[in-house]
Amino acid sequence: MIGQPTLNTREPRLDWLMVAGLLGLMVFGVLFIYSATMSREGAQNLALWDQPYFKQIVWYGAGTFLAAIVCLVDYPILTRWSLVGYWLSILLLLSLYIPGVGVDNGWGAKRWIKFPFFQIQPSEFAKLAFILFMAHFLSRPMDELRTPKVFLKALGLMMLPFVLILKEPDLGSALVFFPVGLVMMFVAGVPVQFLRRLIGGVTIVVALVMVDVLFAPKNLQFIKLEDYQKQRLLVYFGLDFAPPGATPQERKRWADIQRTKEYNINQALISVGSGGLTGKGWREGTQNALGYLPRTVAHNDFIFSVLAEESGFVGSAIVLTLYTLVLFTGIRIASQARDRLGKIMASGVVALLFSHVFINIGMNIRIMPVTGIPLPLLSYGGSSVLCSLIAAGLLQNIYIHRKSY
Amino acid sequence: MLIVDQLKRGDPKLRWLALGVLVGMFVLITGLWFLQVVNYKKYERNLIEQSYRTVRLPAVRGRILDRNGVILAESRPSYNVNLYLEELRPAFQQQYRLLKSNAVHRIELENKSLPADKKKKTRLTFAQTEELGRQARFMVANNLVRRISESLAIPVQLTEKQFRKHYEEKLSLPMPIVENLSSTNVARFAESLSTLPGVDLQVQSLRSYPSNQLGAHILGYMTRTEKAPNEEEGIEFDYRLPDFKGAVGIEGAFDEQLRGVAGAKSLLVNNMQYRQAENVWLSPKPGDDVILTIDAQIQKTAESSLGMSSRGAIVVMDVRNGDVLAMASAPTFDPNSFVPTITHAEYAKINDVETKPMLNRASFAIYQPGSSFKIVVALAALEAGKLNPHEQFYSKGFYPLSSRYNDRMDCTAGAGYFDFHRAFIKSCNCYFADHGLNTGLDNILRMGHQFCLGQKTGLPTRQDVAGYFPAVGTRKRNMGGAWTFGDTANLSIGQGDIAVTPLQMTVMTAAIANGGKVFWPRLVDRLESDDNGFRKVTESFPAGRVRNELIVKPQNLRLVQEAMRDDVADSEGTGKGAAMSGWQVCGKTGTATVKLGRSMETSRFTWFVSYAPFDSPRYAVVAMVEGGASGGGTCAPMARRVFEALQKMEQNSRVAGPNLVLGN
Repeated sequence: MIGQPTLNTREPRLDWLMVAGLLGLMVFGVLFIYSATMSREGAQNLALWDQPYFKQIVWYGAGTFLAAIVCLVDYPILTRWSLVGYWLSILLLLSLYIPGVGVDNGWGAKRWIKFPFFQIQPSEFAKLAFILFMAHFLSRPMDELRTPKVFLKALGLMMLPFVLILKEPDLGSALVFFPVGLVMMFVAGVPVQFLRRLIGGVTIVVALVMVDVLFAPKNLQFIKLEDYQKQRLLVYFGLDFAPPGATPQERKRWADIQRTKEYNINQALISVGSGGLTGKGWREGTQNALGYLPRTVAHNDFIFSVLAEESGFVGSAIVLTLYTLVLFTGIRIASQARDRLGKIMASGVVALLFSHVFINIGMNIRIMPVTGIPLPLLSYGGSSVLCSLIAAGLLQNIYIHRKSY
Repeated sequence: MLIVDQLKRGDPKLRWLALGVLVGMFVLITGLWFLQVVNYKKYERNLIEQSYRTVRLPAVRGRILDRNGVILAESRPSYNVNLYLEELRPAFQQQYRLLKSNAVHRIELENKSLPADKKKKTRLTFAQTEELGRQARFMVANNLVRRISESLAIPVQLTEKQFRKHYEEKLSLPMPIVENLSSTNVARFAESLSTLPGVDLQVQSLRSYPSNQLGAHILGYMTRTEKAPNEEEGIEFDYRLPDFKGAVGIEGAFDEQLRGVAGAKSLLVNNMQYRQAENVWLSPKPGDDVILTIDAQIQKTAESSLGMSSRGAIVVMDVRNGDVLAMASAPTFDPNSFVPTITHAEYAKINDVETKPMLNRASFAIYQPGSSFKIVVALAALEAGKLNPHEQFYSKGFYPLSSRYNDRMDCTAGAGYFDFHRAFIKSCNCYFADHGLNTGLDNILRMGHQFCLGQKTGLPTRQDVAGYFPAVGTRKRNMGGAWTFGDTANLSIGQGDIAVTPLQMTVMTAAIANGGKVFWPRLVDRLESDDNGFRKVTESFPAGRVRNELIVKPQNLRLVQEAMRDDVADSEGTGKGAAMSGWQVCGKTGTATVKLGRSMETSRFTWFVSYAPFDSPRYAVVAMVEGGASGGGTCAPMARRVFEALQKMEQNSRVAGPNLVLGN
């Protein structure tokens, strides 16, 4: 231990309530990744260490280990290295643009860096590095925060990874930086009128972009979104794909495309809806087993659909409760933090986790557009699991080194 | 809440954050509530719609039996070779990978000779991979079909179009390759093909007529149907398994009862529409058996008496109750040839315009009765008091119909003196023309109507025509023009404005035999269902339904009966060819000469209407042959053979008891 012990020995060392919530989520994660992947043809023939659920357990272990290491170092010391971490993550993001480094995994967007045994998604780590560095940056004296210069600098810190991730392209992950940055600035004490202007500005820009993308004729479209991004937005707003003035043949072709594009979300809705109150039972979900819910996304981005189908409203509510538990203990940790740095950092982590949960589940029930945002701890995927657990480790770190009453 | 309470001491900003999180979670849980609890039904319906297919399962068709339990039509298992495409998926994928690597390799080879900037992409487009997948699937299926074809030595061709149609429209159903395997081929299949993946035998119930053409016109035949009549309302089927429906005859008339109630199964299909599981939720209910009044043995005799080459009909009826014991029509056909499908050559043969094998001549074709109608004329004249049986009548050998020399009726009986008895057995046209004219048209028509001529006999088989018999008081010819006395003379010898079916004549003969009861002919005795091994009669049709009682004096009827007896018994009688030992056969011959169309060509309908035995009448037999030599020469011997068979049947049943089942 490097930091001064600030607790007396009777007080708990860890926030066990949050640990319980995380454990519960991990149990759900393993169960439903198993369910989502074991129905595939030939899944049983894979070696144990190739089974996705087993890999996920390994990632949980690795993540817990990393979280423990994070807890060992007092967070102010961690934040001293945050500048390095931030730029390192920016470098990683940039390296995606070097031909041969970025891997698209067949999705058409280069988001992964391949290593011999695994691959990582730099954007996930960039989020953590951003939280650390932003917390460090915002923990300066309150007076400085009131100057527009600092505000603009903070905005710049946010915009850099945002733009890089946006260009991958990964709109969903990029957009997460906004709520996280906003919450951290709000909690840090950046004047509300600044934030209001920021929100107002962003709203106007987003609205203009939307109008431009969705309604402007082709020659007036200044914002060039990828086709699939535009189509996702059209699906979300329930608009016709076919441009105005399309011939009947074109219209028909567009309708076909639209049907395929809407397929995922419609199947996810059927999965969730047909789960009913109590669900069909573990491994009994037909949507996933029969492949209506596409196999490539059932165990990661749409794991919640599998869970909701098989465990019903009851299961969904339990999972939401577990997330709420983790988030609220996180906010409590923020309130108990020893200093502003801890408070800002904790609220950043909470905002990050919350954004993921809200966007991912929201997309499963069609209140959010489809984006590739994973559900923390439940979605299959190493980067996401490691980041979520490291984030939880950060919260625990702040808790361990909290104020003593 | 525990956590929120602790936040009160914290700063308000964190409380705002907490509130934000809470609102977000509330939005999610509300959304989930609406989806999973409120709209649950809707999504479950969508789920069922997209992942279940309902398949109609035809029920096993009921049998058709003769009065003694001899099977005339049954359902036999037929073996089809099917491809189960869902089991071929690994093979499809393997073949696809092979094709794909070949395609990529080909592009790479081409690229070697191309400059760097003109190299083609080795990544295949979506359309290309789709096409490769299609090719791969067809290649796998086609190879299997070829192997099946070689092993079974049956030429089978699978076209890409066929395969694609099945793949796109009914992927979850097995794909039929060979239907109706012979038993040798079933053995061959078990030997060499049963281990192949995705290939299996499927049992289908097919209609079979074990006695082939026996009673074909009564039984009718089956046709393939895609759409069954809306029997199962409320069930929307995605697929129907091939099924048949009865076209005419008993198969057509009792189709609904024979067919039973189709069952249903649901197939669980995956997103590619491959079958995953199936579940029979409504077992098919087998159809009822139809038990006919027909006696297979008598039917067989009737058919063999007619012979295949002639065109005609024989109807056998129990005069005591109107039961039809046999109803043969020639030429005939084999209803087996319609199952599973009829070949074009076969179809052309049985639809020949000259011989019309499909026509049920016994009940569905009409003919002039010729002299056999003299029975009715004699009765009418006797009843009207215009005929004294002992009075002698001089015939010149022809009967003038007008003052013109050529307009006269010929008479084969020759010139001479005739009393009723002699006129009847020699079938003197002049005698009956003269007495018919004396009796008056309306009296003859009234007598004819007592026998229900010109009316349908009420056969359930739909092969039932009314024929033609003028209404009482008619003064117009059916073919147009005013009624002349020549027409009445013609009618008196069963020619001209009269057309009857052999079945109508049988009903008439039976009424003469049984003392005046005109029956509704009965063809179907009862319907039976099999209720867990117990036979249950589901519907029965009463025997001996009297349609009309003749209003005639018994002594007049007796005179006609005796005349009919002597027509066979007397050495001068035209029907002596029907005489047999043991039974006194009563009969009347008939030969109607008809013009074919407008040409001068003529054809003859030869008749023999009869019953036996004279002293206790039991059976009426009517034989009719188109283009026969004469009623006595052609038809009387046919009737005799049937009577002999009937006699033998009675002797057998006396030996073995009434419930004898005639085998084979």
